[in-house]
Amino acid sequence: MNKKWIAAIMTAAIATTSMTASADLELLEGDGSGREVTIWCWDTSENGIKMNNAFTEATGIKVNLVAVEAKDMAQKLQTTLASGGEMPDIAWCEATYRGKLLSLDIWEDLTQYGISTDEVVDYLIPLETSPTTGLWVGPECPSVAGMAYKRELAKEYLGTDDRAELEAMFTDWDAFIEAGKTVREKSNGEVYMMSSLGAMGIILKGQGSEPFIDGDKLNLDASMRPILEKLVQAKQADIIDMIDYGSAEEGASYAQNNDIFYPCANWSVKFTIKMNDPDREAGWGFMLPPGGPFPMGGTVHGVPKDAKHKEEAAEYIRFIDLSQDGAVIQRDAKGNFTSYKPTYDDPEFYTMEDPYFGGQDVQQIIAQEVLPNIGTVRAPSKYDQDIEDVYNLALKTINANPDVTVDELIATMESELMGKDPAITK
Amino acid sequence: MTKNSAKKENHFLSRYLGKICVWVFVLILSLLALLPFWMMIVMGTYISEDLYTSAKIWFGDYLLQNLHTVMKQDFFLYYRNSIVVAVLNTAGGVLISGLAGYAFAKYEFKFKKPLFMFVIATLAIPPQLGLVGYVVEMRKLHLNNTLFPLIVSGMASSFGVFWMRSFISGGVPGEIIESGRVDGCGEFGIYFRLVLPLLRPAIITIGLLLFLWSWNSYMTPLVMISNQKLYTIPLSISLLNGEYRTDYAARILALAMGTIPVLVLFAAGSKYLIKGLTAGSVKG
Repeated sequence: MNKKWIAAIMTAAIATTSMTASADLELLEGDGSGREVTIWCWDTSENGIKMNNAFTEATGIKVNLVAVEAKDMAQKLQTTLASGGEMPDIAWCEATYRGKLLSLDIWEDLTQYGISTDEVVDYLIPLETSPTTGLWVGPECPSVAGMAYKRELAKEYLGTDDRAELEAMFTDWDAFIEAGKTVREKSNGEVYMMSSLGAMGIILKGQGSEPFIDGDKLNLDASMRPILEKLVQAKQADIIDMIDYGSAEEGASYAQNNDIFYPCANWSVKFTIKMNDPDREAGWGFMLPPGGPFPMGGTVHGVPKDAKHKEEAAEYIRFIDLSQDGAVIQRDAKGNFTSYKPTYDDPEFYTMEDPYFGGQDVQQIIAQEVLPNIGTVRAPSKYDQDIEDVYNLALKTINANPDVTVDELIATMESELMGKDPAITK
Repeated sequence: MTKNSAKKENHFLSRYLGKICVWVFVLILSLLALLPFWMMIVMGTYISEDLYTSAKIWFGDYLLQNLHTVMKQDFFLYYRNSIVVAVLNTAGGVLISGLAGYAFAKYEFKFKKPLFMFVIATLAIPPQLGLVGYVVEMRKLHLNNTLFPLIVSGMASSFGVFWMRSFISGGVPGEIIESGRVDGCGEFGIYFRLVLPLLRPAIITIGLLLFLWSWNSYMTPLVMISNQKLYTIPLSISLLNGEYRTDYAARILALAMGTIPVLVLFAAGSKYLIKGLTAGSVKG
C-alpha cells in the first residue's frame, strides 16, 4: 500500500513538473532560409533565450545554444580543433580563461565583416585583443564595478551611510584600513570591512594595469607587490573576514551582519546582492571604492576561423553587441550593459531608481560615473589562469599566516609560475 | 545469592557492553558516512542562496521549484541517454572483459605474455592522452555527435580484462573446462554454459564498476558531443546556469536524481560485489 502511494505521488509530481516544464520558453525556429548560428556558452537560461529569440525575430537567423561551462571551453575548443570537428560559430571566453583562449590563433578577424572597434567602448578593446596575434577577437558586455555596502552597518560603525561622505572618508586604501580598525573596535570584533581577501583583491587587481607577466618575463614586483602589500596590511589589521572569495559561504554573508563592503559590478546588483539578500529593503548603498572604479570579469564573444556560419555569427555580434537595438534587448532581457559606445551618450538609457538601494540609481551611476572612468586595464595574458592559481594560493597563505611577508609571497608565486610553465622566466 | 547476582551482572556487562560499544561505534560511523548523502538530498530542497546560511539537516520548501528547473531542461532525455550509454557500455564491457580474461587465464597462445603485459601497461596511461586520437577516429567514421563513441569507449576495459583474468585463474578449475571438451562442447559453449555461471560475483562487480564509470564519465562526452539533445546527466548539469548565476541547489537535486540508478544497482548487487571483491582473499 505504502509503495503504491509513494509511486503514485512520485508519478504525479513528475507529471506535474513535466507539464509545467513543457510550457517554458524555447528558442525560436528561423525563417526557414536555413541560416543559423551555433553558440557555445553557459547561459541557456530563459533570459538568454529571450535575448536570442529577439535576434531571431529581427533577422530570421535561428540560434542554437550548446551549454559548455566556462572552465571547459578551452579544452572543448582545442580538442574539437585538433580533431577537425565542428567548431561553434561563436564561443564565449570568460575573463579567467580569456587570456589563454584569445592567445590561440583560431579567431576570425571580424573587421572583414564590417565590424569596427570604433563603436566599441574604449576600455574593452585591449581586453578583447589577442596577446599573441594582436587581433581584436570580438566584443563583450562591459562588466565594471564599484563597491556596495550595508547601510545600517556603515551608519552604526562609520557614522554615515551617505555615499559622498563615505567616498570622502576613504581617500585611499590606507584610510580604508584605518577606518576598518575603528569598526573592529566599535563592534567588539564582530564586524569586518570586507568578507574576504579575494573581494578586496579583485578591486585592487582591477585598479592596476601593469602586466603580471610581460611576454614571458615575470613582472610580479611591479604588478603584484602593491596588491599583496595592501592585502597583508588589511589582514594584519584584522579588518577582513575569513571567507573564501566567491564561495557559497560568502554568498550567505550578504544576508548577515558581519561584513560591510563588497565589490559590486553592474550585474551583481540583481544576480548577487538581491539574490543573496532579498529582505534588506533599502538596506544597501553603492559607492566608488578607494582607488576608483574597476573592471570585474567579462566574457568575449569570439568567432572561430573554422566556424561554419561566419556571416551569420558576424550578423549576430553586430546586432546583439554593437547596435542600439541589441543594447535594448541586452538591457531588458538580462540587465547587461552593451559594448556599443554611442548608447552611453544617452544618460537616461540605463536608469532605475532602486528602492532596494535606498533610492540610488545604481545602474545610472555605473553607466555614467563608473564606466567612463575605467582607465588603462591590464591586458589579457596566456598565463592568466596560472597567475590566478598562484594568486589564490597566496591568499590562502595570508589567511593562514597574516605575518607572512610580501617578499616570501612573491618568491613563492614566482617559483610556482616557473614550475607551471618552463617558458616563464625571471 | 548476592555474590551470584553480582557475578551474573558482571557476566552480562562483559558479554553485552563490548557489543553495545561496537554497535554504537558502527552506528556513528554509518551516520558519518550517510550524512553527506542525506544533506545532498536535503540541499536539493532549498533555494541556492539559502544553502550555506546554516547547516541543512531537514527539508526546505523549494523542492518543486528546483524540480521544475531541472525538468524544464529535458532531464528525462538526458537520463535516457545516460541509461542507454551506461547499459550498453556495461553489457559490452562485461562480455569483452570476460572473454579476454578467460582467454588469458585458460588458453595458451603465441605472445600471450607480452599481450597481457600490454593490456596491463595501458592501465598506467591516462585516458586523456588518447582522447584527441579517439575523437579523430570517431569523426573519420562519422560517428561524432552520436552516442556510439560514449558506448564503445568503455567497452575495451583493460582493468576489466585484468580483473576477469585474475578471477578466472583462481576461481575456475581447469577440470570443468576439460570435462566440457570431453563431452563435446564447443569452446564458446564451454565459456557460456560452464564457466560463466561460476563468474557471477566477478561479472557483477566489474559490471557495477563499468556502469559507474560510464554513468559519471564527463570528459569524453564533453569533447565528443556538441548537440544538447545527446547530453548525458553529467553534461546536462552545466545547463543549470545563467550568465551570472549558478543554480547550485538545482544542480544538487539533479545530481541526487542522477545517483538513483547507481544506488539501486549497488544495493541490488551488493552481495555479489562483496563476494567479487573478496574473492581469492582467503585461501580455501
